[in-house]
Amino acid sequence: MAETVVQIQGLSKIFQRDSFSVAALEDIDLTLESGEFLCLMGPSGSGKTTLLNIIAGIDRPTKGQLRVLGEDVAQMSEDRLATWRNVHVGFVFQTFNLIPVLTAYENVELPLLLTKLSSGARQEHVLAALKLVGLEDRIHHYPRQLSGGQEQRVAIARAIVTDPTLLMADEPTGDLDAHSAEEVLDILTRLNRDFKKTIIMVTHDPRAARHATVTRQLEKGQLLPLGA
Amino acid sequence: MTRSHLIVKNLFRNRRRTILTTGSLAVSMFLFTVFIATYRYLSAPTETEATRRTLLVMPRASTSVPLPLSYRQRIARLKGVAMVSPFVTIDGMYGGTDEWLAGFATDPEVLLKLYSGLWRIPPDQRQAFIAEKTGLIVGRKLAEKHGWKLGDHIPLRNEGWHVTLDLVLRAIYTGEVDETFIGVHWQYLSEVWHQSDVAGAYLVIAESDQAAAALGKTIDDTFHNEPMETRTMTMLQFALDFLGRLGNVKRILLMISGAVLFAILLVLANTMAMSIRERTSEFAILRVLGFRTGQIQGILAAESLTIALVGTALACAVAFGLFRLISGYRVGGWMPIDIHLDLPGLGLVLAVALATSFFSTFVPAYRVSRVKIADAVRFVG
Ligand SMILES: Nc1ncnc2c1ncn2[C@@H]1O[C@H](COP(=O)(O)OP(=O)(O)O)[C@@H](O)[C@H]1O
Ligand SMILES: [Mg+2]
Repeated sequence: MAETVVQIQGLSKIFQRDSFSVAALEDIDLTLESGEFLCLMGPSGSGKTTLLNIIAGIDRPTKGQLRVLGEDVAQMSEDRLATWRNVHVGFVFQTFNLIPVLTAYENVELPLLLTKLSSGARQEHVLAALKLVGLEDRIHHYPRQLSGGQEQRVAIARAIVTDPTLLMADEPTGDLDAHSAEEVLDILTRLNRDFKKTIIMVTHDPRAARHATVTRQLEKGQLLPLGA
Repeated sequence: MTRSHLIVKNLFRNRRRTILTTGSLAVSMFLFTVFIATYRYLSAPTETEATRRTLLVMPRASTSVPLPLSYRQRIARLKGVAMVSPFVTIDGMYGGTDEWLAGFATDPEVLLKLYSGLWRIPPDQRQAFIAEKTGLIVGRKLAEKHGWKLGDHIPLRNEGWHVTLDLVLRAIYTGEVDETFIGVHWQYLSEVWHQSDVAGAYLVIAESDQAAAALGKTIDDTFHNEPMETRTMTMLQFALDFLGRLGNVKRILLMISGAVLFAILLVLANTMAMSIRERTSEFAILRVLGFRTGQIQGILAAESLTIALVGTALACAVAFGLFRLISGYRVGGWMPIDIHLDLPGLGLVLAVALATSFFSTFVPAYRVSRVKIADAVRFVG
């Protein structure tokens, strides 16, 4: 039986800016089962990033119910959230966001520094993650020595190295050429299919949606009904 | 990779900035160390049995008019006096050179007593120096510098007195003190002086610390209402008195130290603020990956602490080198400079390094904790 990974009810997010406020999300209901690959689409400014951030505990909702992996993330302290993300959530950004002074290997190892793993076990995990994204021959390269596609694959390796249940990607192919984008989507598809990762991916790209098991549309902060 | 590895990598992110910051910190820290050591030296001159028990009897009115020689017997008769000798600080040029020498002319026994425990002299040389009126004792450094050997004739010309002393080197002392000092017999000086009835000042060695404490007043009372009144103090009081006149110097030292301290703080705070601001989005990424704010602040604190400690270590190394170098010089020709960083001084310097690194990181690190991750990652993405 599939487990519910994300359960959202009546969730809204209002950004308060001095005198006026922006309703980035309005009354969202969304359920995501374990093993699903959700593709979140919608025009710029429709609230996709905001929704992703809230699910990852990076931002907090203004109102509504939110349970992720059984936790009420909206109520957790910043420190608990950090630890929770380290264990359960992998996050991939549009811009690759690697630390420039660290090699591919070291970037991937970063989240493991927070675990109790021995250095030997850490090495095993890092190498496995880098192999999975096809970069085992680039481990000592610095981000500036890598192509955009390779950087994004390192970022994916970093997101999965702790073996999280939930993987989130915010327009992971947005800055990539078609070929690199295809490689990244392939990796995400494999992670979903072969490693049973639950994935939420935000994208503009209609082709990207082909890889998903579910596609939902956001418009002006509202989630359109399934199949719309 | 470990966290310390991460810290080092971050420090080498902007190599030039890190090196410049560490360098300016080292320079400021060096100044601070020197100022503090000097301040401590001026506040607390070295105290020994000799400085406590030895009294200096000077003319009250003017130091340029010598005390009469007749005082010698009258001081010697006072209770608590172990030894008394006329005393003149001498200086002059060596031979035809412009090499300047400085030291004391006293009775040889009193000179050796004054420096007992500080000067190491072979017993035969000691006897030879005492036995010969024109005998000369010098420090090892000075003898080595000029290649002097025992028995050499050393001419010493004093322009002020228009005399040339023809001295014979009879003893060479060694010790952890100034090794460039000279000592001659007062008797010889007084003979070439053509003034047989004056003594300059007097050096009195008391029988005990207590006796020394009382003798100052006793001696001054004895010569009260005489044509030449005296002013007597122990060497320690004399040093303190001399340093006391440097009160302003000390205050200025303190003020400069404060300014330097402020500069150190600014240098490090500026670097940390810049390097932290540049990395705002990276910290947000780290937080997304699961780093807690406190852990990130810990990394930042370690970065600034590393800079501060490396800079301080460099500064102390150079400062200690300098202290060694100047340890041979004398203030006013006879007061040896003994500036060094004692444990409390070193503690203060270390405390300053720690405090600087703490305060320079405090504000930017606090800001890091205030940044919303969502805003910071959005700013990048
Ligand atoms: N920190 C913020 N302050 C004010 N408005 C914001 C903030 N973040 C997002 N918004 C607004 O919320 C809306 C949704 O933004 P976002 O979730 O980034 O959209 P998308 O990712 O779909 O492009 C936009 O109108 C945006 O301007
Ligand atoms: Mg977005």
